[in-house]
Amino acid sequence: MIGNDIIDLKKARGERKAENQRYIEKAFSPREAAMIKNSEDPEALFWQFWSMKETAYKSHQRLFNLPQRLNPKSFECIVENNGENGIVKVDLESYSVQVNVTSNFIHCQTSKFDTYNKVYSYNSESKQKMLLCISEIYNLPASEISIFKDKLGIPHLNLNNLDKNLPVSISHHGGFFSFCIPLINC
Amino acid sequence: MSDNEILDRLKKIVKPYVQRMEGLKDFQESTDFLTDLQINSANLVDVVLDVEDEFDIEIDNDSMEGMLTVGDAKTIIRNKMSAK
Repeated sequence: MIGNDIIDLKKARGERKAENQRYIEKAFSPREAAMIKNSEDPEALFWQFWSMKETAYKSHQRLFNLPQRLNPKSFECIVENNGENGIVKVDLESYSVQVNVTSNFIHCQTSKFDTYNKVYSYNSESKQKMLLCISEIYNLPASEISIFKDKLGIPHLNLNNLDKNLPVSISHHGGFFSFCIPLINC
Repeated sequence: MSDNEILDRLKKIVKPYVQRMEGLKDFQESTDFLTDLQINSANLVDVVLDVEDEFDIEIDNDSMEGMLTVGDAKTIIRNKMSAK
């Protein structure tokens, strides 16, 4: 199962969420809150944790076909020494999350198999660019590929000529857009 | 407080976070914050906090989990106000 999430750090930092005690209590465990508070860059760690939770949420929702929920506190982030990669625990599951932090964005992804991930700047052509990129990866004409959301709001890739669906995870925040697909032979 | 008044106040609260403005034109109980209004999930927590302030209530985690539509929010607001 897959999940990915992008955070536009410039936009995110402007919201000054790491200072918002009430927000932190709604979204983070006391342990996570203490790590954010004691971090050298509380805003960045706040958003890294948020993005890790969001990534795990997407994978967890897809794995168990769950309805949408606003339950960030059910997801607990575990990182070692403020390191970048980590684990997110929810219910009896744990998701290993790879984190890529740059000065402009945070991108997280999780999967149990090899994936292709791409981060773009966001504009009106982002979706089309994504479809073209996917068509190159799978070596299929772009016209054969479409994306649809199921009843739970979970996106899937439909490969028309193969009559099969594949998981796809899509994220957009501020000036950035990202997606994650499984690497398979079509 | 009438249902209409609650919905009017809710609409003002969510407006700054809405990314799909057309969704606001048809603001009703079935309106979904994430899909119809395209509020991002991080901002949905802001909406919860703003609702707490506006209606002077406290929204516990269990209630927050299910606050995904305008109707969900209205029901939570009603329940919390009557429990005060």
